Amino acid sequence: MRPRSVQRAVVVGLIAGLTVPGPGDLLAQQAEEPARRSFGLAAVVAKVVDANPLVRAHRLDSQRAQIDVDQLEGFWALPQVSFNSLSGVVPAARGNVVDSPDTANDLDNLGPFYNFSVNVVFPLYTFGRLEHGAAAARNIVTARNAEGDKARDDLSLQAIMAYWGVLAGEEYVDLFTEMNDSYDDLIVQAEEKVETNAIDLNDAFEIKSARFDVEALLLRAVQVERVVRRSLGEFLDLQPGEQYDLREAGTPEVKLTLEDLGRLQTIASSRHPQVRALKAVVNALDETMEIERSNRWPVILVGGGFGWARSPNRDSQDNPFVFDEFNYTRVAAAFNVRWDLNFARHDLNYMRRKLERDATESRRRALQMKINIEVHEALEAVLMQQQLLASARESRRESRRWLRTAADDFDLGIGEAQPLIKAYQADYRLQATVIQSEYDLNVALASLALVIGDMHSYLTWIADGQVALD
Amino acid sequence: MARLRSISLGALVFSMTAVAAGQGAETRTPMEIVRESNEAITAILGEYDPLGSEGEALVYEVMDGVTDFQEMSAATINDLCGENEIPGEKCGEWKKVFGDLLRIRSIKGVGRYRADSFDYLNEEIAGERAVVNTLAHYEDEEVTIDYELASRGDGWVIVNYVIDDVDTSYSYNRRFGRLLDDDTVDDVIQLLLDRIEDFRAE
Repeated sequence: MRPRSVQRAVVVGLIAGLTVPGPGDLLAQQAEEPARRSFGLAAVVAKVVDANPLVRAHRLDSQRAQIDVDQLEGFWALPQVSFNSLSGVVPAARGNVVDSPDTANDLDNLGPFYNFSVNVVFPLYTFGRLEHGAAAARNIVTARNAEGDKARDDLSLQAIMAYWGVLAGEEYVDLFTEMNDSYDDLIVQAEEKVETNAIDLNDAFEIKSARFDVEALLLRAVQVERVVRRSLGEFLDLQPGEQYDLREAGTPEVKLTLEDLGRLQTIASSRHPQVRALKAVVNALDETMEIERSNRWPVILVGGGFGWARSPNRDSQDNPFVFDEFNYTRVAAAFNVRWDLNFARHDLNYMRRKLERDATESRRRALQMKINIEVHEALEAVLMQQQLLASARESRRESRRWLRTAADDFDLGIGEAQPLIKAYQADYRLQATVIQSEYDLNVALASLALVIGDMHSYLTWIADGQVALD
Repeated sequence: MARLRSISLGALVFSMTAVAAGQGAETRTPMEIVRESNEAITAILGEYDPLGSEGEALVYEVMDGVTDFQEMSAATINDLCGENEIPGEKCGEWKKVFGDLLRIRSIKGVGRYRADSFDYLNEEIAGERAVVNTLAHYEDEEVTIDYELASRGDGWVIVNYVIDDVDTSYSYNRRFGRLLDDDTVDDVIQLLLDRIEDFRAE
């Protein structure tokens, strides 16, 4: 039997080594560091989305589409209004058409001339062209907004994954740092015991040879945490090297079941941005079909104009039947009817629009089917991750009980060292598994929110601490 | 200031032990006993860091006033003596040594296993027995600790703990059972005596 007091000293050292820096150490560290910005999950998502140029591009696209709507709906933006002005020099002309001292070829006695005209043409009745055009433009705005939402949702998912990734990385680093510290203590004590022949040399070799595995875990955790943290920092548009903290959110309780699939698919059909975009495009094409129908009818326009011209060294002609292009004042108003009577071409254009609309509607249905499958897959993934997390937590509870019992027995001198070390290994492994499972569940929930087109609900789930349909 | 704290701490420990000895004005409930003993030990740990012999003496006073280590030992060992046909005198020696070990370990391990804070959730009294359910908060986890108490005259004493759903007395019982498969009861008693010596040497 191995001397129990020696085994106990080694393993109790392992237990006692599981400490974290005291409050004093942490305060001293904080005093040296500049103030760090701190972000919660919602702030991370908002900042990542706002700072991204792709989202800005989509916003500008929407604004540009809105201008078309404003033009078609705005009374003052609709008329064609033109102003024309001309000025220069012209030879003098005196008298009138029957008696003049000048000839048409005279080039002497030059004098100024100037004129201007203002013309307005306004559609009086278009047989629905304007209304359907405005409706089509509004639907294009809706489609552009939905495309922007899709870009925002994709970015939000990336931000959410990075957020949970950084938090998981921090937990891994803490866990493996603790494990490393404990193992260092164990090695020191093992070396001391070898010198006093209290433990076998082979036992010490075994302990030291496993040092690489323990250190490798920590090094990988530190590297991964650093990479993910830097990536999120770039997402957040922070200065290079700027440090920041994340306010930790809890993993929510999932209250979804497979019976919620239908409701989730219904939500996706109304909220998924790509579905919304295609619906809007279909509606816009419906409107363009109506425009083609309207094109079978004429357009009635009303127009008006005002013109004024003066040339001081040319005599004004009072006879209204004489056309004098240098001295006049004119006002006119008129109705205009324009009618394209090529009905065959109208029918072809209508069919072109209809086929385009039907093809787009078919694509929308195909997308809806694909999304229904994706919603199902995402829900299954959430439910699986939920079960895995529950199982990991339960197993970790068991490993904690095992560790406590083994440590208690050992502390009382009635337990062995090997079971205690095995219990430690199991407990560390399961703590790491719980961290990974929490990350996987949070990302699976974000993926579900993405596929139903409702990333806002994800933030609500996290804030509320539970995932449930209203 | 340190002197004032020592006086107030001494008064707290004195009041705990005095009341536990039946000199208090009125009988305390099981939950009050658990809560006050935990608060007293937390105060001692806050005052004495490291604990030292003076601090240990104060913890002993509190522990002895509210815990029956011999009862805890007897609950662990009694049926093993019957199953393994251990003579009464030897069984009594075993229980005495294990009770002493539980007592000294409760002092030596008090700092290491101490929770940061406790929530006192519930108290159930059934005749001469009572259970106080608590939730112990450690740095990054919470653990349920149920204290089992027995009535002694006009007060209550702790006779067992169920930590994270693991019955401490039952766990020791199973461990001793396995030890007796390979070792004699004298070997087991010697293990416990060795450990007591180790604790005294710490």
